[in-house]
Amino acid sequence: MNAIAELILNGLQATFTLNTVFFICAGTLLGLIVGIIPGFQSAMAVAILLPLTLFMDPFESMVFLISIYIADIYGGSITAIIINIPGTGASVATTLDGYPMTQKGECARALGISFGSSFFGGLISYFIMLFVMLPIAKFAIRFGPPELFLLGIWGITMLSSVSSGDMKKTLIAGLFGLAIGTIGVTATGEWRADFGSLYLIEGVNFIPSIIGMYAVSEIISMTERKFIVKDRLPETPKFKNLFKGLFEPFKNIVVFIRATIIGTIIGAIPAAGGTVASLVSYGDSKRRDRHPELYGTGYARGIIAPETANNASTGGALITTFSLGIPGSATAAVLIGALMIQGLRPGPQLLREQIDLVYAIIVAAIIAQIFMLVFSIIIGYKVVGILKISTQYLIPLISIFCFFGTFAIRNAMFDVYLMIAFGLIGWLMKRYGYPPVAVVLGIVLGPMVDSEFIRMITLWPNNWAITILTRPICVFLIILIAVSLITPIIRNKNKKKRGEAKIADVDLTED
Amino acid sequence: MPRYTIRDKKIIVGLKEKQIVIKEEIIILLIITGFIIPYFIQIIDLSKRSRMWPTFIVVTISILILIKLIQSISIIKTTVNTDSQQQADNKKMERLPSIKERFTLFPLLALIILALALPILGTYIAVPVFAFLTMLYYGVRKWVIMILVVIGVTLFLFFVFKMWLMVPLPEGIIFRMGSEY
Repeated sequence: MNAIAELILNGLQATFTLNTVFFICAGTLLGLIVGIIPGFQSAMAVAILLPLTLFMDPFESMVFLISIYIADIYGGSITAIIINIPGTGASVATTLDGYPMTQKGECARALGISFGSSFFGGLISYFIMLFVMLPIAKFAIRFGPPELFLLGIWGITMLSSVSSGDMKKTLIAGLFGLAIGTIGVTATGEWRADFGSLYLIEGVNFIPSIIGMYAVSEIISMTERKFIVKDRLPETPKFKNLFKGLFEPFKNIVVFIRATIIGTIIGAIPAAGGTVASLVSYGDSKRRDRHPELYGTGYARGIIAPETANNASTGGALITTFSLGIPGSATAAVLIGALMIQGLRPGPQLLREQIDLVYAIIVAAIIAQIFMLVFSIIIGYKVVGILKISTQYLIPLISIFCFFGTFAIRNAMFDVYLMIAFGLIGWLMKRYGYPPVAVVLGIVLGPMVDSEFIRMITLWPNNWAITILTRPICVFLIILIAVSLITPIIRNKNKKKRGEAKIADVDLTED
Repeated sequence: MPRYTIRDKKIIVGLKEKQIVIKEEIIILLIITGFIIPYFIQIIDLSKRSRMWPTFIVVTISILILIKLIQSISIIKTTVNTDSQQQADNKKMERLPSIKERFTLFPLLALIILALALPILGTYIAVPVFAFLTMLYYGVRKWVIMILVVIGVTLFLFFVFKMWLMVPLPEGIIFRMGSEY
């Protein structure tokens, strides 16, 4: 324990230097800007700025890049709440309740809740990292193909949480997303459903689908109103409301703690990441809540759950990155590259030989969270001004940013056309009650479920089903899946019973 | 001669004694079906391992689409079309989307035109023209603000995307021809 305290003190000393503070500020600001631009992912920003780190020492370079990584998720949530356009995949679940809260005229509160959840969730996740890095890493590494397959299936059961009422519509949308997610080269090396296009060999990138489904469909909806907030004078943001929102996670402490744990663990699992963490956390919170009907209407817990989880996932992702050298997310993979440029090899060796550096980076990441909160509040407060801009100006501006944000993924016009197609589908889906989030969930989880399934049946061709039942984590996940599927059915039955009882009561009183 | 009307998100095809009522949401089902059929054709010849999961998806979604299609289409026997009914139908016909409403999809059209024009005109001509014309279409007439927005967005693209993020923005044939001379 004393050794950890000493490492933390050393980390604090290294962090509070002019250079480090400068790199934290620069990384945070860049990350926030990148997060706000739809389509631009932290992995891309980190990769682009990687050459700059050649001129820095390993500590400064990691602090700079990790600041971009975390700030990107903060930035993505700002646009998700204000204009229903998630800047990153990890903010998709935030749109479900963040935007409705803005529509209710409580934009400042929604931003406050988002910043508070992200800040405290991230902070706790990094503290967890300080003390239990190795046990979590050892647990995460036990996830083989059967576990990852079942984790994906558990994620898919979250479809029941995003259902808008008609489960058939939600399932159709989710399966449509899953089918899109299977396009491209399979784990066996076969080309599958590429429709003759070379661009589809790598599969459908989920960025054009998210921008199309959310941003483009939202632009189309904007044509029907003068301002973003329909039939309502734009809210004058009040710092008071924003600050109130900051501490709302503590009023919902159980949801907050659960989301932090979910985020940290899912973040640590290779190939999962912030998008899966936030969607799973949202679904889990809705299922356990006494008032699931309030989710999707601008409910505070609907923001706390995904926002806490997506930021906590960054800490989780770094756990496996540093301790095992296995990236927990796409950005973490680029961070591994950054460490290797500096002549360091992430993994057990790094922990043995450079433990002081690892702890200094974690301490710096904790301090970076504080800077991020301050910058987010300032930038978020300013961005709220968008609400007062007429859609006459916003439509061309957002269209251009979405266009080039999508184009920048791989400099291909194909992705832009894909975004436009998804925009039309997303708009039609919203119009006829098919939840676009189900399609996105399918596209995100589809490749993971598919490739892990293929790996599983390749490794255990004759007894894969028995293998699943003999692995403890698999059994635990099967129980979670069963609970996820059964709970909504029981809840609906109880609701119907209660409804019938009420009608019976009314009849009796009328008699 | 069948008579077509649109009533509360339903397409009604009137025949002699019957009416076929189709819910408008059928469009979504047709789009997904239009994707699923060629998708299924493309996965048939793959190995069992690569085919299993997509086949499960295709079978499940097909069943669900079939159920929804059956729910979306219904045939109703019509009674004699009275004057009041005729008037009500006429009123509904008047509620057909106006020209302005039909152009709800204008942003999509504009984005397609931008995507087509970009390789020819290049970013620094196509984007200002796109921004200017779109604002004009949506009724902006404050010329100074329009010019500021056009310049601002072009500069933003240049400095953020081109200089900072190093995205190779399309230069277009015109710019490339200019640079050759």
